[in-house]
Amino acid sequence: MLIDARAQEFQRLKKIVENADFQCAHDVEIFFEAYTQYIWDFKMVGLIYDHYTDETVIHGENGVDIVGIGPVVHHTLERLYTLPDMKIVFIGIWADKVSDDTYRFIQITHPEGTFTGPSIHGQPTGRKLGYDNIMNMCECVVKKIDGRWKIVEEWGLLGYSNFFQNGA
Amino acid sequence: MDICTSMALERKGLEKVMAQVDIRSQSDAMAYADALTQLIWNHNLLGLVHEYYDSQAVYKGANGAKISGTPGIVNEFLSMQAAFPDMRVHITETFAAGDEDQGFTVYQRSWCDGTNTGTSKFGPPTGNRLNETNSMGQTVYLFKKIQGRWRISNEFSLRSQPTIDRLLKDQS
Repeated sequence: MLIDARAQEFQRLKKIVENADFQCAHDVEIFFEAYTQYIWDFKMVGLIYDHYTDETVIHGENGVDIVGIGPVVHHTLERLYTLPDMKIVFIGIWADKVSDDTYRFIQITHPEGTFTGPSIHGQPTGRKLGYDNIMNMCECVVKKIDGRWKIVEEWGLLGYSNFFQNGA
Repeated sequence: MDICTSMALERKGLEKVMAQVDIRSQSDAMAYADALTQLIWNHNLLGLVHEYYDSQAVYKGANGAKISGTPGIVNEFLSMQAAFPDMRVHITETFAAGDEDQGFTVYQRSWCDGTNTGTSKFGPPTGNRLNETNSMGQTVYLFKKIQGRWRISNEFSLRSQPTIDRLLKDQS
């Protein structure tokens, strides 16, 4: 991405993620697409704290739960270190209003990036991720807590383990 | 009640739902999708894929899998059902988006129970079991009105694939 275009996109996303005000399901879809890309594509990892809670549980594959904000941040940094050029491409996001202070949404994405960084599974392999070899799905429940919208529970199947069997 | 009677009654109930639902709202779309999922997966009515999916429907699955057209989608489902002949899908969460004009999107979170008593692409049966812990699945159906009938045009589906592959390889 050209520098100007990158800066413009950064500002566009920033404006959205700094104004979380959900009046309808579509607002949730717009926000979380931007929020995801802001954190991953632009490496604004600290924004995780704004819309997760200390008690958020992420339910993953094979009954593995990530509990608490620390492991969420850790996991994100680790994945970015392994795939430094990673971008999240959205296939779709659909939200549903449960009540005035609760929404839920499902998003389907795929990462694009190259394993050029080391991981706990081994040295980088240079393998590429994209539409043809991986898909991520993530369902989130979002609640308004003390005036702020927070992801309180999440279920996700990410599909990375296939790439980690013989090193990243 | 014996198993045959119980299954037949359950199936008739689901078929009634399918027959009665004229999809006009998100709740209609959810009822329709849930009944169809149960008929195809819990009652092994694979032929319904040809009835309720667009003939050019696209299925997107794990590891980048992309299958276009109903014959390939049936084969994909069949590989799982042949490996786990007693498999049952339990839908734990569902919601929908969209409307009559733009079409409906239905999301389902689910898990399965079943035993690997059939042959899989990895070899002979292992006797390993699917359960609530190891088989979480997430599916999104896109429904479009095609030639006057609501049909699935796209399905996006993941189900703990690495874990299930390990079960089928007896590496669990």
